Amino acid sequence: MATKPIVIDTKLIEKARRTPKAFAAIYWQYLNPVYRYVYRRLGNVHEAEDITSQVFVEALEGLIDGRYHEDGCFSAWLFTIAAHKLVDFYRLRQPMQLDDNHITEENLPAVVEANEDRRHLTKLLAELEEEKQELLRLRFSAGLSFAEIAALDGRNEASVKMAVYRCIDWLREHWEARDG
Amino acid sequence: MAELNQVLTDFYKSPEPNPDFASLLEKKLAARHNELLQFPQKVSLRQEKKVFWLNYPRSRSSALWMSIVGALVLLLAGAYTLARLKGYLPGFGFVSDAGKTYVLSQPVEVSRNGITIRVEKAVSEPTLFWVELAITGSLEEQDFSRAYTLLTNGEKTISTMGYQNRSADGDEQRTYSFPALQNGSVQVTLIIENLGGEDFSLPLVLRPLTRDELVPAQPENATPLQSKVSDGAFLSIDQIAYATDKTILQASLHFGAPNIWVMGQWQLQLTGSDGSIYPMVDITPTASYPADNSVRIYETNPFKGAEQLTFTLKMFTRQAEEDLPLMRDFSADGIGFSFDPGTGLQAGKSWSFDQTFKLADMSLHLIEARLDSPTTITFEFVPDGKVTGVMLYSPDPNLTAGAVGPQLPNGNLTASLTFKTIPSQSLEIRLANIYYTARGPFQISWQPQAAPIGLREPTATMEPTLTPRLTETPVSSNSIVTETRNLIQKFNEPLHHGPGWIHIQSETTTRQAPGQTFPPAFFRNDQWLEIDSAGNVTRSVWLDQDAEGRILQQSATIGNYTVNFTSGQAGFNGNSPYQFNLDEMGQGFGQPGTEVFRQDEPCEDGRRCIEIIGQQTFSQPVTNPGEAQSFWGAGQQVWIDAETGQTIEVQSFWLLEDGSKLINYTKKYQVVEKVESPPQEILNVLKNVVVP
Repeated sequence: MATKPIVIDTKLIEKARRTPKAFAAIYWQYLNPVYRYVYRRLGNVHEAEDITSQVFVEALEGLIDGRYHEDGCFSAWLFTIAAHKLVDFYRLRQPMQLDDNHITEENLPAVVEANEDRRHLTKLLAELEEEKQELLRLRFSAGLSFAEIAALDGRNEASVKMAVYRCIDWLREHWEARDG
Repeated sequence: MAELNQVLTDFYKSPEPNPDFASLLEKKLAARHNELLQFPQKVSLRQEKKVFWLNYPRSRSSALWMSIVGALVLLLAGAYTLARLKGYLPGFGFVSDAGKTYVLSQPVEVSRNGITIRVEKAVSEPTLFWVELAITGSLEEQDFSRAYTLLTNGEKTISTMGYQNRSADGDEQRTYSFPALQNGSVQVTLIIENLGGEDFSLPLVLRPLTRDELVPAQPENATPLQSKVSDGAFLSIDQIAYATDKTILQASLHFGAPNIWVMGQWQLQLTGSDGSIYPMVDITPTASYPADNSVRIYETNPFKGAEQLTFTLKMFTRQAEEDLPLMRDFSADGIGFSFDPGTGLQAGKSWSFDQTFKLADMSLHLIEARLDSPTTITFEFVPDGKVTGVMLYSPDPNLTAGAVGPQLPNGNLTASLTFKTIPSQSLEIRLANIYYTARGPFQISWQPQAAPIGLREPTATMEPTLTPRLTETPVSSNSIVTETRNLIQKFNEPLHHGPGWIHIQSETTTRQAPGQTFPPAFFRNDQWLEIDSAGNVTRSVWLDQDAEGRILQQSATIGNYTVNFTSGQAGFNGNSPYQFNLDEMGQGFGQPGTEVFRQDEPCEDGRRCIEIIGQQTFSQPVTNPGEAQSFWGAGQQVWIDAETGQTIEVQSFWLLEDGSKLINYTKKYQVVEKVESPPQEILNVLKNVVVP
């Protein structure tokens, strides 16, 4: 399963301190990954929108305020903000059950099959420890590279890579067991 | 059943955010950005762009490389020695031994599947191999490429550092650094793997550097230029190269110990004994210099050799400061303490400590810990004189965040740790980073050498060199906005008739958000703008002062060259000549979705005024970090003299959930006048600006 880390123009970050247009460019680059990551933690559109808003406002203020340093890893910094916002959020409530498929009659057969797969997947994911689920979210929802996850987690890249691959191996083993 | 990969992809790559939400959030961010920028940083200059990526070896090996048929023998025959000659190589930086430096013989270009890579520059010197290339074509936003060098003996080495700048049309400039090539290697293949799904191979042929390509540096035995040493830190001027039309300097900061970094951007100011400010344009090249913010290269004017000059280290901070803010990483030193929070904890619980930590020549005394929330413990330290902040760390797997806390009114420092849940067993807590200041000023006195023959005299005046443009007035289809802008132009138009000077004075009051240190709650701004006979602004002076008259920021602009006297930054700002335009109705008034209201009411001084309000509302309330109240909209209100069109006052606000407005800042114009000439002190400021 391929994932593509975002490469951000280094000049753009500098420009984003000074011009809303440049920050908007960063915003559009990261909106989907941040939103998906937050959504996968919360399972609720409205709350995901709320937290996503907070993440970008804090990132904007942090950039202007010099809280991001040029020799840092921007993705790791941004997702650290997101993780902190989620921690704050969890203090107040527990996440809702993930159930986000919108079904129309036209695509019903395909959706039924997809939903069976998805239910099976969510069941398998729920058996993984939270730390491992978080690794998969960072890797596949947020689209972070192993190096970026390592920077965010304070671990080394090789151990992150191995942990992700082990998760996928475990999922594959249990996925195929169901097939068999 | 579907493939696991596909199901995982579908699961994690969905959902997409609602487009309306995405669009509204973009607008909200733009509004917030404009608010944050209200306190003007007049100088908008090049700052360090030391963002870099590190490359990691991958298991995949490249199958593609090309052997080079080079003119090795001819090249070596043509080489001659520049024994131990140091100097500045434009675009690259200083080289320490020109005799052992090689550059690209001729540009190399390769195209494949609509992507073209062209190598324009390459430098091989004893410490690294550096290459600069341009990439055009249909590049993907996301990039997985890796760069290698391949020598003729089959040795393949991955890049150690890289930089990229992508233009709006998608073209890229990239630089890569590699470990130094083997001694004397003049042929090397640059391999770029997996760029747009393709592998590229570029055979590079190098030739010896020639003397005329280098701006020679002063002899190695010259007296080193160094500031005083304070708390282990000092400033030095390491290299100086004199050309007929410029002087190139390399400056660096030293800290006397490893794992120390400057917190923020630093800059050198160069002043003459008469108070004149010389240009110091930052030209530090990317990739060929360390990414730790410790080395800078500047270009300044040529000199006659009789000048008595002073370098002063400045931080690009909000106020004139002489001290150097530093951070030292002690995380590898294992200094810390054990702490057992116990069980049955409730927010507000506190623990007493009496433990002193020695960290190099600094000390911290831990006196208390408090449970500020169910998951956050805040520790309080009594610092020694120079420590300004503490960052803690715990190896406990429950740790989710660590933060440098605010300084307390009694001067004590705080640091907090947040956990998923507070562990019930004993915690290992370590002092990770210590923030402190090295006392300034950091200055170096310097008498330059005379430039080589053909010295160009610096000038203190300069005519605008770019084509004049009209000041942009946002276009709006809203009749209220259009009518009001017409009234504003009625006020502006007579002020365009030059020559003369326009003086504007305003006072700005800002609501202080939690933790906000800038902009200050109050400041007064004075602007003096010189207008030429065509109505364009040619020179200006900008001054921000606090309520007690202390200077917060002062800058001067001549043509498109600006010097910030507070931060020391100087350079060309890229502006065209422009006309004065006092119009506080920003772009937001004309944007779709903005509601615009007009009401007539008297201003504070009784004048008949028009109040124009522009506001946008969001689909749901938003709470900013640290803010107690949510808001569901933001806007601006501007008061304009109904007779003259002069802008009197402007406010920005948030719309709160209870329907009230929270005013974030208020700017009141005290004076807008046209005069024949400014006070002598303003002319003196301009006189001190030495334009490159």
